[in-house]
Amino acid sequence: MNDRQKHIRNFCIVAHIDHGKSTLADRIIELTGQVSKRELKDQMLDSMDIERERGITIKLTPVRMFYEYKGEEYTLNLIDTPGHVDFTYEVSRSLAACEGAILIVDASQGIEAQTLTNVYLALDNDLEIIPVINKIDLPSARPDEVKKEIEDVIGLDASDAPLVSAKEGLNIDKVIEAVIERLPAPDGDENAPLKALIFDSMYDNYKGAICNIRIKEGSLSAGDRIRFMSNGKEFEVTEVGVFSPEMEPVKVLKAGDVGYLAASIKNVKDTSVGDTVTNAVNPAKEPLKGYKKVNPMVFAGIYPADGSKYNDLRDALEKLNLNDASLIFEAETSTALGFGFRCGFLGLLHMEIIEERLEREFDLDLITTAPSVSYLVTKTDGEVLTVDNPSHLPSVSEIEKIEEPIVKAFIFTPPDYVGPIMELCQEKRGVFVDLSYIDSSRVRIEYRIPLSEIVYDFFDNLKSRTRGYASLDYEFDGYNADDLIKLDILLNGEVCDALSLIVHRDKAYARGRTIAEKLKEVIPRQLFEIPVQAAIGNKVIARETVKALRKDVLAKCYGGDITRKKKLLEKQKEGKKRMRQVGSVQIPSEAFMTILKFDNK
Amino acid sequence: MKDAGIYIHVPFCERKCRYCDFYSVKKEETLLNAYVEELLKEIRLNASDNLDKKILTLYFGGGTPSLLGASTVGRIIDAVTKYYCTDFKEVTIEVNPNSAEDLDGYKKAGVNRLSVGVQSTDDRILKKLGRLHKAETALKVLEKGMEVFGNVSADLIIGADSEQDVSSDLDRILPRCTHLSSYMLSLEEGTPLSKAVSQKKVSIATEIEVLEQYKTIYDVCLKNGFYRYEVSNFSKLGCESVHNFAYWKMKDYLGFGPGAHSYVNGERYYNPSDVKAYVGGAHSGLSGQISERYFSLEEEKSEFIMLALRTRDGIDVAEYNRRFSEDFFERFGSVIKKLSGFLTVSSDRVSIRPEFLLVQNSIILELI
Repeated sequence: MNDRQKHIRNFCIVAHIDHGKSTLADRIIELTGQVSKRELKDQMLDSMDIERERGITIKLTPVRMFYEYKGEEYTLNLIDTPGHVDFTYEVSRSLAACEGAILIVDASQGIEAQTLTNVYLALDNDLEIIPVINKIDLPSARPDEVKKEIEDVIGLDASDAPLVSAKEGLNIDKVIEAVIERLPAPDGDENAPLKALIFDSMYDNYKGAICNIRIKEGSLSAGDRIRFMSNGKEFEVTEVGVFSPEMEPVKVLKAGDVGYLAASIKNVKDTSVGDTVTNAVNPAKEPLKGYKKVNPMVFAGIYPADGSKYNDLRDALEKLNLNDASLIFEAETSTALGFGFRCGFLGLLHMEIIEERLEREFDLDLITTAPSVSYLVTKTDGEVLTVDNPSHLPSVSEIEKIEEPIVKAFIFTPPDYVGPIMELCQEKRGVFVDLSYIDSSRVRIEYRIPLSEIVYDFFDNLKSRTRGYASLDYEFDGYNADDLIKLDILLNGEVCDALSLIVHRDKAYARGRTIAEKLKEVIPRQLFEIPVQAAIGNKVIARETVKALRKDVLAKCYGGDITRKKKLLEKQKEGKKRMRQVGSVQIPSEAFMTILKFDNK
Repeated sequence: MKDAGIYIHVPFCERKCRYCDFYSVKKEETLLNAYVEELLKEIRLNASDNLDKKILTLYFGGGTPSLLGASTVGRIIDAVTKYYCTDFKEVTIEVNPNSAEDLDGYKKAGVNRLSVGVQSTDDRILKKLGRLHKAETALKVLEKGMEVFGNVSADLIIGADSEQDVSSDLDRILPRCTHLSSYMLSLEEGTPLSKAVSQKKVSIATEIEVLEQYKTIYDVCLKNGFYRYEVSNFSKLGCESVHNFAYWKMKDYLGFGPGAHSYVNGERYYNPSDVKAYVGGAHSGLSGQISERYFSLEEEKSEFIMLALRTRDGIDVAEYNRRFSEDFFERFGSVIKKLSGFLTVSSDRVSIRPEFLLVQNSIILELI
């Protein structure tokens, strides 16, 4: 380790949601003077509106700071991390770019679900962890007890954990000093062949795809020819720089540094998170470990509520895609919904975020179909299809077998909730794998569960059954064949393709019934009676009826004042605009969303 | 000349009924007198703009027009006759059963049709609605009205109560009149009844019960030779209200008095609902009239269709073609075909089948 590296600290902050991660990050940035108070928006690192509003971090935003300690100047690189299971892989990659982590625990709430998940993630990456007790200004703060919890549950020494209030700016300097004193400085030979870890990427209209990188070995300057080790693609570097937090070009990045590179890369998809960048002329022999290709897990149809906005939706998806390579989409058509796109997402939150950004940043009204997973269908003639849209499933007679993606789900929970969690996992067709006590207050449960079951409300159910104490993590674990069938929904005798689902036979009846009941609630009465049926093939398994409308007119007379009658009619006209015509039936856009939530009792 | 009607709004009541949100104030002698003077002035001032109209109907609505008394009503009718070209087919006055003594006086003044606010023949429900009269009084006024005018309309409110026996209401009312207006009670925001209902102090009929009551009205009326010619209006043949019909046919009508609405030469406007401002001369020279707007032709078509389809006669195709210089069937042929199960269609008329009259908005929405 050279003298330059001795004065660098690369760290991140991990915490359970709402324990004050972004606020502490803001205070640290403020104290190091990196951003003047005037420029400082709340939650500096969360640059998207959605991130600020929801208090979640989606994109990783690194920042470089300087701090003088005992007469010497240190470079501090803070890498923010997203805090949701959909982005676990991204989190693990950004942790891999650091030597240490600050673990924030709320002084009144103590250790919670994600605290543990994040700590284990950090320990997996061999990070040094500094516990910090936040929100000590709250009357309900109980820092001593929380310290003891950290020691008992996690096994970290919390005796000299800084007690801070990020909100009040109290003892932030203690945190920075702990980072300098206790976190290891980066090592790595700056003369070795280049090995840089990509921990995020984004798109810049002028510079092309930008890779956020941590140099593990070697060095990198503009003009170097680089190679991405996962796909072999080569580019000439046009710019390297650091985040202050705006991009600031520098001459060279060396082992231990955190920064970015730009190389006129047209497609952000070439820059996968976790990939290793090396020098094309003097390449490293082995890439850094831990890279995996991230595939979308959840699929849904996204359609413009107003059919004429199809091109706007395509443009919007293309723009989002520039910054978010994990989003995939292709055009599809539905008889019920017209022209739209089948989109693939990392998980449900990712899907929600994309929907919200489309609606908010691009001012689009959307109709989204129920999320689906990607099935492997073997036909009787031996052909194997990938089906991510239930309405594309071949007919029953052509199907030899259907395989569905399975995940290994890890659930951490206080022992009190083991019963309800196992019950939930069984209901969700889970297969028990393992149960172990981490200590007297935490249990780790492992199940193999079909991803489609996780997609349908598993997370909400888990939260409500464990009062938010359980945390969930999962990883893809192959495909399993099962007795899966297509469940169709018929409105007035016609199949509505956008409502079709692939489900397990044992669940088809219950699910069909619930959907029919829900649809009966949301489909407004119309001029004629509408049968709502759930069917497997030709067999109807559930039926509800939307009765015919009986009155929609004002039967009241005024002395020539027709304004109320007109107002009512205009209101009804507006309502009709938000409907989709399926055969002879009008369905409100919400109907397509309601069936997403049918497991809510 | 263009056929037209005149509506006079009389915004005074002895006491406001608990469900009512029409514009009215408590009767007060000096204000009422000032109102009459202004009304006469408004009638006079508007005459010169309407020399092309032939006034076929005159309608006194309220409020409680019978609070004016016969001689005042006579002065107003005289003023209309004096300043306008008139050929009265129908002169109607709405009366409250409690202030309907001098029916002969109204007849002498020129009234030829009576509209009586019966509302219910059950004293319990009348009290619930905040009506001042007793059922018996109202029935007597109907009888006397038939003697004097031979052409009497009764108002009946349905939906006020789950226990409302509309069948026996009609048994008592229909033999004593020629016309029935049956309105569904709607809870209007801010009325005492709507407050009481939201505080759960009283309950009214459920939507299903109202529909049952309406069905009973329809059936009993039909049995007694009262035909439905509009969503809420039933009459013996030839006793349809000419004045109200003009609304549905989009004929011109002039509204006088505070809160009165007009539809003249394709423009809708109304006087502000403020009797104090009115007597202060706010309407004079039409300055107080709030012009709703000029319609676009398409909007006017929509209104024409919406209003006509409320009636038994439905859309007069020739009138549509003349008015809008386009062929109705060319424009709407395919929609009409699609809706054929709900419509009665001939070459000159398109109307909604009787059983679908209450769901007409869904049908109309296909056409506008």
